[in-house]
Amino acid sequence: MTTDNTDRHFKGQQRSEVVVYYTRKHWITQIYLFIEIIAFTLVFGALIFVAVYLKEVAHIGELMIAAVVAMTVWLHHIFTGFLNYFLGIIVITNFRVIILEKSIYIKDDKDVVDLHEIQDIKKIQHGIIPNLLNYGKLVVVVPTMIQPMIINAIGDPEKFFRKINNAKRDYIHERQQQRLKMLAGNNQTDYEVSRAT
Amino acid sequence: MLWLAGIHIVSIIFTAITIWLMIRYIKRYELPREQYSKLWGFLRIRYVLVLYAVTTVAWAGITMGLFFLTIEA
Repeated sequence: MTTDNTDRHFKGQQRSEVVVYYTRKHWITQIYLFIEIIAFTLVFGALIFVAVYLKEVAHIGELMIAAVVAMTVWLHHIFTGFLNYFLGIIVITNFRVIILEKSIYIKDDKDVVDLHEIQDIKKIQHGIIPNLLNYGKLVVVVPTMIQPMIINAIGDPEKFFRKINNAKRDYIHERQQQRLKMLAGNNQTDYEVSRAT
Repeated sequence: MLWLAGIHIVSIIFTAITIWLMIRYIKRYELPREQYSKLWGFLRIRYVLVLYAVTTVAWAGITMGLFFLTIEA
């Protein structure tokens, strides 16, 4: 009995669909959050300085409350940014390649291409930093699409490139095997009929 | 001071809702464990969630304490 994999690992997963490989974007996409953390810490230090040494300034209480509100929103922005990183994944299954771009509240996008529709795959890894940190871009060319599917900032793009190629090859091989079985089944039926008559 | 308390209550509720949504999504759509990779080699989702909760509460405590000890004093 085959396992029912409907919505097992991601929303929209089909019944007999198996996850071959998945990955998230490279951590370099989150570097801006680091910069924001450092900036937040500096602003917090400035806030303490103002509260301790400038408390005699007029309306300082109201200004402090406004600053705390702004910094609270900023803090939530930083953490939701980190959490959104974990929600965005690129999945290779035995049927297709899926890019899931999701955020907690705002976004829920999905881009899908079937393996048999893929004509060409390019791995692009230009520059000193991408090669040092091992991240790059994959371009998946599909004849039926006006623009190719571009997957930016993939960590270890060589591995992902190989996984897509292998998944595509396995998919084609399996389809061929199924066709051969169907043909063999039809041929046997014709033979038995001819023997009986 | 009351304004500040109100802001932090809303902030903590927002954090609780975010963490709940995140946990619900992860439980519903669990990806294959053998392929799981941590951010920078050590950061898992649960660490970020715990850090988020602790930071939000600590931020509320620190700012209210700072306000009380300096401005209100």
